[in-house]
Amino acid sequence: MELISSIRNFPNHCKTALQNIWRNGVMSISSIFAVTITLTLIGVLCVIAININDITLSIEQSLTIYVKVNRDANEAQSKQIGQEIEKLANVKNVKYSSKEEELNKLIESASSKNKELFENYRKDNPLGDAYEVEVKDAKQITKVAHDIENIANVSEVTYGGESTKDMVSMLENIRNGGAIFVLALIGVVLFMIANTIKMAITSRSTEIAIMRMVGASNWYIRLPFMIEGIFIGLFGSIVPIIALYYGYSFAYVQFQRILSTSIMVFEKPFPFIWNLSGLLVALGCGVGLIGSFFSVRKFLKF
Amino acid sequence: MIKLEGVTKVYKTGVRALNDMNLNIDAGEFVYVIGPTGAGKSTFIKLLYREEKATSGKVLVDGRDVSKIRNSKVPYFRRKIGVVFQNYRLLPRKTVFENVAFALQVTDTPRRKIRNRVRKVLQLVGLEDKANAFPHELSGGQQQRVAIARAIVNSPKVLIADEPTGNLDPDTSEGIIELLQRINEVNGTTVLVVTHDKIIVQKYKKRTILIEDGCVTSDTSLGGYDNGIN
Repeated sequence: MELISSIRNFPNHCKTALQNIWRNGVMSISSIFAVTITLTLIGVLCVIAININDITLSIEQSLTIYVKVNRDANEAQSKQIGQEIEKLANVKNVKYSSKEEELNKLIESASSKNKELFENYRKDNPLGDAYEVEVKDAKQITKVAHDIENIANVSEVTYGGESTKDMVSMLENIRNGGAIFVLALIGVVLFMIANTIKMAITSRSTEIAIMRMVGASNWYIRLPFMIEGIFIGLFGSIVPIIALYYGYSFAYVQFQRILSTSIMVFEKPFPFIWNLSGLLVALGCGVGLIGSFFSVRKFLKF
Repeated sequence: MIKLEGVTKVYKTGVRALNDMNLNIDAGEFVYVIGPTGAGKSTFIKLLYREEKATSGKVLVDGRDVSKIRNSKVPYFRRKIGVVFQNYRLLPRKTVFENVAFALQVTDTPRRKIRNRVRKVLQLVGLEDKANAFPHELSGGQQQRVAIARAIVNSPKVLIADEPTGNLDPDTSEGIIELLQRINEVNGTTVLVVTHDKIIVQKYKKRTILIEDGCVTSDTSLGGYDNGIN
């Protein structure tokens, strides 16, 4: 019965909630302000953390194992190596490069003086075929390299060794640390917002007492406060979203210009901004709702 | 209408506010409740609208044992009782109309009915021209009239007034008591007035119950404050 009455009165409750926000002026503004500041902070941190995450992932993905095939191996043996590498666990992609292609690459990368020298090798190529192997999980790169070493006719495997391993674990730590930091901050911030709302509601405890006096059911009292919380979250997220929209669009262009390389990949502004905006609105409204629910509950006990 | 049988109330702090109190008030009566401060008057009233529960004994209001009402049902029970306080307790950010209408809104009354009913009640208390004023724009007497309007708007069977004239000057106080009497006579509402105001009790003689040390020490239908009290 209470539920049906609550649904039927929903438009009324919304009106009451908006009216309360308006008539409670200063308290509402301070709550909205708290939400605005904290959501802006969360927004900025999310942008940084997500981009660092992307960059470290793209660095890890650019790590490859370089496999040199024995010069004496014939074409069939060389192909065989490729097939065997593909069978290994954790291998994402295998790229074959013939000895002629290898020489071309060498000549291209050489200085002009050496270029002539290397040109002479065209007749009798001292290089062997090669494979570039990409792995799925950068942490497993050492194991994959060892496995490849054991394949017949492989002469040399290079992957950066221990330093690569260290870098991978460092990137991992950056990612995890960032995630923990962002989560902790969100926790703190949500607590702050809930506290502000609680203060605003405590200042209205007489109002709640009077409502109970005239026989308002608990849900009838609670709902306007909860809707009010949602509205405060909603209003509070307007400024952060506008800031995110213009701030990130601008920052993206600038960073692309200055730092852009193949591994420094930033999130494209869209749909990233919309997703993050959605998250901010949900956080604001969610905290407003939950914060006011628990704050009112304290005054509804008999 | 109201019946107390051997009611005792001991607060958690150990204070014994009511001690084996017995009382019977019939429907349609107008009753003063008097007594020194701390004698248990407030506790007695709180038991009636279920702000507090009796430690032992029975409190019957309109045939229901108040102590047995489940917490979640208390709001519905309170709609049968109107309460008026010394400090008015109006919602400061709602207009006079909204304050009175609020008691009907919570009972899911249709909007048109609310408007008619509120207008009628405001007329009864003489404030129909103040419907759109906020409480702080009114005098104390006017605020108390709004509180009374709110208390009677859903036609309760019992109207409890806790020191309704405590903050008002003598002339205004008389106006409030006359209003309560009119409600008692016109609507047949059982009215309980807790008061310290000797002049009022002397002037408008009604049944007067004296509470001392947590029980009824004098109950006279003659009225007046002169039965060796104070």
